[in-house]
Amino acid sequence: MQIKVLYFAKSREVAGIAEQAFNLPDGADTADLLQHIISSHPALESVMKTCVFALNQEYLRPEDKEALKDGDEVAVIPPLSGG
Amino acid sequence: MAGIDPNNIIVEVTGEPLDINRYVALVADPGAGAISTFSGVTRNNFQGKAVIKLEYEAYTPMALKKLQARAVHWAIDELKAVVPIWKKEFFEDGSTWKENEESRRLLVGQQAGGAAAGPAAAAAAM
Repeated sequence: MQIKVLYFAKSREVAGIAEQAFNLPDGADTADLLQHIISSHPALESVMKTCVFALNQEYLRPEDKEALKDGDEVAVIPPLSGG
Repeated sequence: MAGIDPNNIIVEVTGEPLDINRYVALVADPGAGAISTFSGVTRNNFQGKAVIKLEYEAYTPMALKKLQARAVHWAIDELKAVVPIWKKEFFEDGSTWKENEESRRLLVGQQAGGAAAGPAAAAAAM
């Protein structure tokens, strides 16, 4: 299945890209995706400790191990700084 | 209790300068005696250091969704906490005045500010 990952703010700068497609085996969850992201961008490892995910625009933590399905959009959300 | 229709809430995220008069006009009503607005502006210093510029970045579709949800939540929380409206519930065998948990802030003075900062801070964090 294909997952679309969006990087924002610091995670975007460190990854060097804003958007990336990951092909994951069926049954993969958000914790698996996190490992793929870090493998793809080792420099993100420490940054990801301060980030949460938004799966189809709803917040969750990667360690929640939410199941993924083809076409899901996962955003990497560093600490918010709006306002 | 007064309902809040999500269709009556306008949320926008834009990179263009804001025209506050446009938003005032959107909420103007012949029956309203005041319109309150808030403008956050950029300051030129932070902790003694000059700030040259700010760059903003947003996950726009999610930002719009969360802003809309927070606006409704904030309005309902405030309504429950401070707006003097009551309702009495009637059962077949009696009745009771409903009491909003949120309105207990009124009883604890200074704590009211702290409690009120919850939803407001969450909205600002967007």
